[in-house]
Amino acid sequence: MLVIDTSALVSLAVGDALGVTLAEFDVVATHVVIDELEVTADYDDEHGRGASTVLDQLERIDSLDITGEKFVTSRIDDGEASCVAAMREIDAAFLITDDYRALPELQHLIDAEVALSPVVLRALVKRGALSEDTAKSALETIAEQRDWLGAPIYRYARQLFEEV
Amino acid sequence: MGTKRVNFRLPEELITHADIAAEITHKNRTELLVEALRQYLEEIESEEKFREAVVDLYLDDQIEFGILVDIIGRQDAEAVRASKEVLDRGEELADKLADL
Repeated sequence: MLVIDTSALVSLAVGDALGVTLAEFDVVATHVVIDELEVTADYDDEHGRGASTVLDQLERIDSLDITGEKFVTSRIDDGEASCVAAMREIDAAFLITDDYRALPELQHLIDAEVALSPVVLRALVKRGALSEDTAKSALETIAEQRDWLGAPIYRYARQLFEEV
Repeated sequence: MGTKRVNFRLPEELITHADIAAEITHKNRTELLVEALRQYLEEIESEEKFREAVVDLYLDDQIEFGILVDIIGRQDAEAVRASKEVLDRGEELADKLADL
């Protein structure tokens, strides 16, 4: 079971890899994350369209009504905090987030693994659910939407597909 | 490139200063604002490109973490370091994930 936060759900949707992720894994989100997706979906850009794609597939995502106010910091927002609470509640194996700025604090709060969406793409390739070329192309598409901090990190993630 | 009329509000003192600068430099308000905005955008864009290039250098193991901290700040540097660590363990993590 994986808990996926708003940023990573949007990334996977932007990379056209959300459908296969939901087919392969039991994915859990929180009501707070869904609220964030609804706000994001109002934006007329790639992230907005990605959020709408996630909302269109909500019936395939288990939604947990849980909040995590006590985990909120200057770097961990309400959505991520609710994911921390969800991880503890259901004892999930992974939290998937693409919020790099929150990542160090999330790792401290969670005993389970915290990973970025490129790791999900790599796991989908390993399972034979996604071709390597499709995964690489998803990675490129996601990277194009990232800022100066995220774009290099996504470029770095290419190595996951170059050493196969 | 064409032009487009836009409406926005500016603080009064900024307009006063801009009008004085326009008079001294023999420009009109629009020319002055266009020039100022162009300069600002060039500055901010080159700064972000610079920061992005520095992140690339760190990810490529060409600079130390301390230098990354000096240039992009501790919090963002920690974000980059944590992301690098996750991706360096990417194969192991993907195996674990694929086995779920």
